[in-house]
Amino acid sequence: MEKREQDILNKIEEKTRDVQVPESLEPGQIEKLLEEKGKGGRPGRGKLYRIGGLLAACLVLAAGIKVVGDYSGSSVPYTGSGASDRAAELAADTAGETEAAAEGGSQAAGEPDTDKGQEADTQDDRKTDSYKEVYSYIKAKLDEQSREESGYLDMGADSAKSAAAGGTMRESTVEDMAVSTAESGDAKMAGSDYSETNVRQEGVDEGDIVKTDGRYLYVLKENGRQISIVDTKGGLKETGKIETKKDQQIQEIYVLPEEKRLVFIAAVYEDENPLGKETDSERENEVYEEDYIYLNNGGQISEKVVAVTCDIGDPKKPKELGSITQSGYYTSSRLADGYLYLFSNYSVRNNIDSHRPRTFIPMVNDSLIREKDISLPPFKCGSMYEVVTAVSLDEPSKTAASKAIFTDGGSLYVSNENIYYYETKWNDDGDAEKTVIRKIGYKDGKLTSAVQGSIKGYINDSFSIDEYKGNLRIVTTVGETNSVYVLNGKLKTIGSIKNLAKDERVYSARLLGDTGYFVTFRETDPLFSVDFSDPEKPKILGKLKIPGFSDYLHFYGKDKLLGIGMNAEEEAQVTDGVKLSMFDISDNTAVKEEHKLVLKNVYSTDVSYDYKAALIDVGKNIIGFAGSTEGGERYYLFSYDEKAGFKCRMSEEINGRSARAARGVYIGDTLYVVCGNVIEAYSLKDDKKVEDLIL
Amino acid sequence: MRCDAKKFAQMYEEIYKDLYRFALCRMRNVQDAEDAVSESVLAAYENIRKLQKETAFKSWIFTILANTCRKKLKESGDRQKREEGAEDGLAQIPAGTPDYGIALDVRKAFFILSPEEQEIVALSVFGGYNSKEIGSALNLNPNTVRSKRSRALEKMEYVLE
Repeated sequence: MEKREQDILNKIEEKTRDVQVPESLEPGQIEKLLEEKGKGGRPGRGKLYRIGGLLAACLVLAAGIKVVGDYSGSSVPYTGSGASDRAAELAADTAGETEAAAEGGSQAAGEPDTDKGQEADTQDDRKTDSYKEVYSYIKAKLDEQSREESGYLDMGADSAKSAAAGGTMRESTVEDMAVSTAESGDAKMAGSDYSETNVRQEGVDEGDIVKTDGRYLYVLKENGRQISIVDTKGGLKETGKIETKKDQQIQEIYVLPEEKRLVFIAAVYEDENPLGKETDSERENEVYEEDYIYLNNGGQISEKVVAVTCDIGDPKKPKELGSITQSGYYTSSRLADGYLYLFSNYSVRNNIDSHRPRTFIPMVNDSLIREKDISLPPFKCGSMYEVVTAVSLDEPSKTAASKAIFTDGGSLYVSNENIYYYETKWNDDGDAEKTVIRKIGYKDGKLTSAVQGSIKGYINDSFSIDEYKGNLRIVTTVGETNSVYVLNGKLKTIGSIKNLAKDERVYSARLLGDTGYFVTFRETDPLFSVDFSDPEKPKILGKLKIPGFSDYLHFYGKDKLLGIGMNAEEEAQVTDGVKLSMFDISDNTAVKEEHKLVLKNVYSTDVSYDYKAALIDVGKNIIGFAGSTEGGERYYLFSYDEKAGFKCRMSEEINGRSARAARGVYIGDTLYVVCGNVIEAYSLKDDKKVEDLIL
Repeated sequence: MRCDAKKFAQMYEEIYKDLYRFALCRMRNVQDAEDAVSESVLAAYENIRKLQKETAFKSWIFTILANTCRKKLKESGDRQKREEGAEDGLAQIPAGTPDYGIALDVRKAFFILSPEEQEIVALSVFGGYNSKEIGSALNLNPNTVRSKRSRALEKMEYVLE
């Protein structure tokens, strides 16, 4: 972390240090309160005064847990690893270590790596030949971790470090697919008369929590167990639903209107999941499960992802056609040309056994990933994989191809031909040292082996990385400055511009064809335009300084670029509301802010960190998103006119509640705002509410 | 783990000030912060069997608290809307101010952040967590946490006195 950042954190800490904790929260009082409730998780009804809305949920939850507790005695999968425990486990595992060392030796001496030889000229990721080699890499990583963590223990006083050591938290990382995956170039032109998910790359679909096929809405319900199929024709009504097994939590949905297919991806909470044994009534189950989510699944980790394909030819009776599973937890997915590409992140545990590949090799459909499909890490160790599997939706139970690459946690950008997986290496000061990019080609379910390259700095989000004519253009923040890079198909840097916008960093970017735009910010918002027509000599065409910043950019028809972000008062340097800007990019050397609109009372919008939360349709001239206000969430709908600027057509309270962001989708002349289990419909003719439905 | 009220209170004692400060920065007033902490404590106690290791207690209860705050904010937002007749009069902190229990500039600095940014910053300051740990609590990539935190702190810098 930069020193400036640490200073701010310290300041907040100091300023709140003397906060008076209410008497009722003193440990003595809490102990009394808990005693009144009886021992170890038995709900004491009645006595719990001072507890509002959530109380009911807590009690039901407690009841649910009690069932669990009774049947259990079984191990709860609390995978959080105290460092001391891991260190101890590893220390005890000396036999294993010797073994690994021996294997490492024989590997080095004995088996030549043939793959390596073949592909040496393309600086491919080193591919593996032998699970033994994979094992030695993992073993090295686990040993390194145990060393690092015993280091932490010695420094007990340092609060951050000791927290790290005691952390329950999971080892590896879930990609925030909303945020860090990427999305689409141009604004969608109206062809079909219903909206599709706002994606990073045109032609590459992405999963979401609400989908439509032009007549039905497919809505992931708040409990994560069901997808409601809602007919919009002649009034909203639920005509069918898809329900998962009890140990699954649905993450995202795809709908293919022509093929009449629906694909859902769910996290599987194996074994340990107590829900499987739940025998109480359906209704209680549901309440309980919602709280289960809220309790972060009791800290459980999903060990497996499942992608299920259903036939929705008859929406009343959806039929399951097949499914595949993959190790790890869901990071993201894409759908292109009838193939689903499923990504998950799999971390090996501490119980690796060189004789049992299942303890350290990811599985697809309960088979080990083949050795030759695993790309070894750039360094001599690794304990986490990103796994990708291609599945044809015509054969939804078979895997067309799989690959696994070692990683420390990265993000995805998927172009029309390639998967780019990028991860930043951070040095000890918290500065981005470099970002390593790996590229896997994909086509019709086939995956090619990985090519690797790297650049300095870190990548803000997937909009800052863009493939065009075989080259990859990247905007990065490097320390206190920013850079633009162009990499060729082998991920070698062929062109760059460095030292841009000192003391600022990239907030958003959008590249299209030969021109790219990006926004940096510190006090004002320069919108840079870059000419990439000569990939070896990218050049800055111009920059426009305006107050505030855009953290999402979207091409809006011919010669227009829409920015959604925050306004900042130039003098006070305080952001004071969500801001819409329309840039005129007809002359990309002299970009102008044609109009702007500041929503003074809206302090944030989901679009800033989740592009799928945006509904933008140039053909229909609508821009929709949910915004947070002091009075709660509202859905906003705007239209744009070159002369008159932005017009706020709608500002409506969102009545649904959800841990997930609200979505707006339209079918014909109706806008549906979906949040949790509540669907609210508005006419796009007069922007008035038409009806609603609670699922 | 097995745990009685006394043992729970002992573990709680280590961190309750941090829990409360976290809640103060997320909730709209002292009362709501107090409620959020006590609800989280109850939920954690009811589920303490699920917790395998004592060392995991702190981050577990922080995760529960973060989720409780999120849930309560949605609820209170809804309530407030109904009471006020859903007028757009928002961002200004209402006159006749409620008791924030916290310096006004800190309050304001949190106020300009998105809910997610608030969580990231509050977990950094009061939980002492690094980006990797925050990432796993909030289901975010650590890199994303870093860049969001850096952006959030930049915004806060202008407001903190």
